[in-house]
Amino acid sequence: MNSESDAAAGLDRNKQLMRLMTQHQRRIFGYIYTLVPDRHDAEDILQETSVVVCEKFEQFKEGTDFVAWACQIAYWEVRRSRQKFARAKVVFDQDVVDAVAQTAAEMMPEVSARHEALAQCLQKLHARDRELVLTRYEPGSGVELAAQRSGRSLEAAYKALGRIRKLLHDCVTNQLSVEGAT
Amino acid sequence: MSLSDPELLELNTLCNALADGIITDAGKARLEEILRTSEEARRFYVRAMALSSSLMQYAGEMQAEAPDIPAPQANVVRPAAWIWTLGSLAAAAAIVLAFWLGWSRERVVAGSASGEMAETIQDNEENVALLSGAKDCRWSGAEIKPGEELHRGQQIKLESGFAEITFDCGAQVTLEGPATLDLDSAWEAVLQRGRLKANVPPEAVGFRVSNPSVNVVDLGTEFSMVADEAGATEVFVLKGSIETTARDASGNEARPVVLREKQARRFAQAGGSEVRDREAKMEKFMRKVAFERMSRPANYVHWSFDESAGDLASASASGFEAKLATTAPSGLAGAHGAGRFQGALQLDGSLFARATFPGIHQRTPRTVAFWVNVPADASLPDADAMLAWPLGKLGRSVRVGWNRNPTQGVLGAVRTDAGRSSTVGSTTLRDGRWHHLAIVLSPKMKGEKAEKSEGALQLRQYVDGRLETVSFKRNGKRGKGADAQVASVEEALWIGRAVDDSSGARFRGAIDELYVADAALTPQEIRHLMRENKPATPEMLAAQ
Repeated sequence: MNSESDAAAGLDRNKQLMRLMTQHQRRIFGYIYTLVPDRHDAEDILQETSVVVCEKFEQFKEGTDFVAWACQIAYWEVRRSRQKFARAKVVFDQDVVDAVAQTAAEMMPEVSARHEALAQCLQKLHARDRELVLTRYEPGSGVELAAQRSGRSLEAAYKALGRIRKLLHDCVTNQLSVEGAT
Repeated sequence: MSLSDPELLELNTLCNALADGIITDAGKARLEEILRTSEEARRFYVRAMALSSSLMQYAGEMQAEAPDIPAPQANVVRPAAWIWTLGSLAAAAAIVLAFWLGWSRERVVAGSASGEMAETIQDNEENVALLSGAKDCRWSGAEIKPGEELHRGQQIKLESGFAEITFDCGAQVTLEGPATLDLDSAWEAVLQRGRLKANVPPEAVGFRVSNPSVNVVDLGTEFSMVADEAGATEVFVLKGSIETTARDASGNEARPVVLREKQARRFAQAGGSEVRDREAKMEKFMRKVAFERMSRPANYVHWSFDESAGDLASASASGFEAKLATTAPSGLAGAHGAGRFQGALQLDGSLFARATFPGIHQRTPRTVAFWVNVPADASLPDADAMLAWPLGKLGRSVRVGWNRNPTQGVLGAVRTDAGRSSTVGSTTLRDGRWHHLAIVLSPKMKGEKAEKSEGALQLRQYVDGRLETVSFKRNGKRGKGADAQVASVEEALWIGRAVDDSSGARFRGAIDELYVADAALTPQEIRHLMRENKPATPEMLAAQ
């Protein structure tokens, strides 16, 4: 191969990586967040994972499962982050992380379906509840801000969020069982 | 094992507490115990966490769609530019992830009640040049004084006289009235009418001046442009060479043509042609103008790091000596090594230095310039921090290092975090070679917003004398609670570590010839420091 076609192949490969990452980063983040349930720590690990994904992308075999491959890398980044940082980035003991990682990997398809179903369930919520939960999860926000904006006490906001999550969880489960039945 | 209803209820409560960040140690231990023993619990837990993760995504999307929220700065995500300038796989991922992290960055907007917005510079406030000299200037509109900064998008309308504009990239343009010049960025201007002469040092190659009939890209040179009222433009190359691209009435561009020294060309909508009286016109452009210049004294403190032993690095001003310290068992044995100019400070990832620096936390104009050598194999924890010092009294700081986050710019490029604004350069420093870095901080004094805030800052970074800047707003949540005024600020300049050392991360690499100036140095002054390793005097600059 001459250098020109090498460059073209490299560019195609870049595009492919971009496409895969755009398409799947949400799922990779979801996987990391399940193992490291802190938004900022999970985002940090996602960043580090992305570096390794880039570096190792040559090893990725086309046609195989990109998310599974990237999540493997993410898993090792989670392990590494525990060794590397003095402050506790990882909440759980390693054996718990390992057990959860296995379950999370198996549940990938279900989690994806749940994500899709959630969009409709959010629409079904009362406007006031929807506003509370979305404010809570907005980038830069948190329970305090959500409580403040909705005129609730902090304690009431925690309670309301628990109730709304339960509603959403049940709605999603219900929706999937209906879809599964038809 | 199947979970009983009370167990499920307990698990649900624990998951909620975890998701909202209020789980106790006992709760965490209990959750671990349940997750360890029950597959059903793990499945419940994965669904619960996935729900939170999905909600983050939906909330982020909806927030981004809300019409009253300004889009993130245009230069945060520019896929096309990224691909062409970088072309590496890491860069490709950077584009993708910038999209994801766009959520986080917008949180600054969401939390605008905290006043953080004022700290980040908006497009229309960004300074891109300054008026470095004036002679007999009559302005149409507000008067501009020598030393005054000029912002992006500003139109300079000069009735008569000569104005010298120094762009942040280092290009110097002499405008002769009557003339109108639009400042598009630190690298681009539009000559609407009148004449200009541009002097472009090698570090500013790529500087361009355009107008409706021609686009001129400098290839390292001195050139002149004269735009007349009828829309025709004459271009003269005084030194070096330039690339010209003719434009027709509908804005279509012809093939670029390179013009060399002493060549000239006239561009009109009817097409290109020879310039009449070329020689006479050229001669006129070569004349020097005696400008009235701003006088801005600058004080420098300089550490040469030429010591060959000991735990002190002497400074050009007494009391500013830097004290070396390390946590490594080997001590300071490897701290002194060869540098760009004689000796340098060798930082091994555990060694750092501290110099007492009264008043360093103040938000006044400041420039730090130094040589740095980052090993090609430097790993992510080695990025923190080449230099750091406190900023203001709210517990914030300035940190200069290399970028370890590919979602925010080129991995390994110079990165400055000042409070919550960050700037990432474009070339990687991780190559085992010496690079000259200069970081210029200028407080934004203009505009009501800036006055109300603690004082917004503009950051400029020069690598090997060339301006490299990609600014973006940064995720502001980590600083939560940091807005309270801290009791006292430790007035120190840290070399090789961040102000907040809690992570224990240190910079690995070598640092040499560190200068700290109490002024926003111009590109010329920075180049002088880089080339001569000493501060420029006004006479030296005038002679350049």
